[in-house]
Amino acid sequence: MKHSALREQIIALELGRSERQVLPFGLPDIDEALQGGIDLGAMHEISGPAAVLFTQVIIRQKGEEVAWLSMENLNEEYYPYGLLQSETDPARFIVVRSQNSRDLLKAAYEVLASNAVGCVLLEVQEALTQTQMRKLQIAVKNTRTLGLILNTDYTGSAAPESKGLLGSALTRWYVQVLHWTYETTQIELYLTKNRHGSPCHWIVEIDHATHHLHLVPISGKRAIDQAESRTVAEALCPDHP
Amino acid sequence: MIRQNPELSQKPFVLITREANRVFTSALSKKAISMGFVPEMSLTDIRAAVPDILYYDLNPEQDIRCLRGLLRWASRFTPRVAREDGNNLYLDIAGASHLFGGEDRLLNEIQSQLKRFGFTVRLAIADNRSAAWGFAHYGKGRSNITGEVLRDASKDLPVEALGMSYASTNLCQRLGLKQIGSLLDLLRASLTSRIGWRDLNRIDRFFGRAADAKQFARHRERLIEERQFFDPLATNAGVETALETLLEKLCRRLLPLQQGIRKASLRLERVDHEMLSFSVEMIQPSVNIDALKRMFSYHFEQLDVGFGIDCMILAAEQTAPLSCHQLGLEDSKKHGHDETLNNLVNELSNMFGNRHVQHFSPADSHLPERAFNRRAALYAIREQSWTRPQVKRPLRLLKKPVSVLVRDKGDKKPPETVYWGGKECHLTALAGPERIAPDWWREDPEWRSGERDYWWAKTGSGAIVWLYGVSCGQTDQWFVHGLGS
Repeated sequence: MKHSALREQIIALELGRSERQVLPFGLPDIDEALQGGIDLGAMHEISGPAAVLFTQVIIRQKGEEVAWLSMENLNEEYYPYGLLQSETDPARFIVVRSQNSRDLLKAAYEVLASNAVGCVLLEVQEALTQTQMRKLQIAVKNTRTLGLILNTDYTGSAAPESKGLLGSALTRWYVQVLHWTYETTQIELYLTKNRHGSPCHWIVEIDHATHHLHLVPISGKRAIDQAESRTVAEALCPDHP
Repeated sequence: MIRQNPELSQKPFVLITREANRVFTSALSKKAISMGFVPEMSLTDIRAAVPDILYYDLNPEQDIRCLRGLLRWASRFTPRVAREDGNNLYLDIAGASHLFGGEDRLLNEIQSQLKRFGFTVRLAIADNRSAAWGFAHYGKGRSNITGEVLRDASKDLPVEALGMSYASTNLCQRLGLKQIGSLLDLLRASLTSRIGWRDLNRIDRFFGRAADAKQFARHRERLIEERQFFDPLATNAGVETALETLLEKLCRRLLPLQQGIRKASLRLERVDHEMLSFSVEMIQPSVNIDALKRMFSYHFEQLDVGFGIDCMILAAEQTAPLSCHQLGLEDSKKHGHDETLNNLVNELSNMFGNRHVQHFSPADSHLPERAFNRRAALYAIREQSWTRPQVKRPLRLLKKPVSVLVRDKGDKKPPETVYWGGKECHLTALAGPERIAPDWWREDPEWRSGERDYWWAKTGSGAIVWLYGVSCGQTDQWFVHGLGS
């Protein structure tokens, strides 16, 4: 108890405010691991082949305006009809495209500090430096905005451990799709960095019709997979025993 | 046009209008007129005579824009200026001519200035609008017909100058009444029965016997504040302070009008006569000095005052009525939220340029990439109605579909191994196909390959892709078009 209270205090000191504001996932296991939910007013990193899908889950959960910041030369963009199908109003999307990474960070700082939007998606091609992350963290700390740094890599070739392990993000996720049908999608979530506890691994099922989340138990049937995934988890966070 | 490229003035050229299958001339250059061509000639005839004649499409919008500019310019002579269809400008110089040393000198001044601009003009001063029109179009190139001389001077003018209806003018010409003078000798009663009261009224208006109403363009109040400095401003802080006072002045003028600034521009003149200009735009009209100043201050980052700023000119280029909202108690929180959001859009648009901050808006097309637009958030309408698609669509679309190199030959099904971005990638087909046909009525290079079969597939690394195959000859080509689900 004392331990957790102390930890709470440290977080509060780091975030610069007294109480934590969280966005719960509604899944007890994940919420418990994050001690209530994903922190608002903080930066989180999401990477992996299905990062976009997972951010969509968070955006829907948050349900406010979203600012998507990316470089102008990025070949991909959010598709309003796809957003519509995952219960996000395209009208609440603000698209900011910058010509260079300096402008991108500047815009990110402004949007994070303004507290006008619910989520900020910052799309980066390469990991931010420690200083840049810290600056963004300072910008966002007194707001109710959720700062998400997206680093998508569809071919899954670059080793995740090579990417920004040093960053001061509160949590870091690696997401990939396990199983997909018209009705449901199963995604594999690796929480590779967790300020509130240890790294974890879950399989979450998303119902496309109701957009509800279910936790799929990592059962014996998947024992081999699990062993495999453990090695992945170890690869992802080598600093963790 | 000649003003834009001067060498044209020495060449014969014509401006053409296309109407159905006919192409005819609507305006000719001086050289072309001297060669004996007239307006309304068909282009084919002219090219038969002069094969290498230059011809351009007539651009009516540009003409109007040019006339509007001239109208603004003309407001230096009198505040009451107007433009009418055709290339007519009217200036009401009552009470203004003496400022320029009399009517004749005013006429001289206008003529010489317009000539310097490169325009060919016909000018006339008369007591009323109809007479001025008649003399400008059918009189000498430049005439000053006021008071008593009107009746005498108009005797030799053709009847067309009266601006009567086409039928009446034709009738008069058939009857041998070629000039206005011969028309005036006739009895009024007999004239009425021939040409009708409507055209008789035109004659009356020509001679100032009937009222000739003309609405003049309302002279807009110029919302400009200017300040000159004895000692040039040498620091950015100084410029900012001066800007604040200018904004204060401008906003104080705007408030009684219940107008807010939508677009403002600031011009700074440096001591070395270098001109710096900045402009800001607001999503909603505003008289909030702090907000406006903050918008400008983003531009001041790159401001180089050099040896100092001599003069500052702040202009409200676009204003709009300030909107007043009656707020309910429960609305106030939402309103506050909207306001911060608007402020954010404002700031970002002004920092990075408004084309970099965008909103989605729906478009009417069945092609995935044409079904939506991105509009500048500063101008976009936020409330749009989106129709939910029946079939599954990806979360993200690639602006340019990425070609994936296929190793094994597919039989209309997605290939199992592809090379994507130089890396080998295993695909598992999940669902499909969904056939999308191109717009046959539109030439679209992207869709030249014909119908596409869209499939959903999962990559070995755990990404969902939306890809399509097109057959080109013997082989199929596959492209990734969307990502995520």
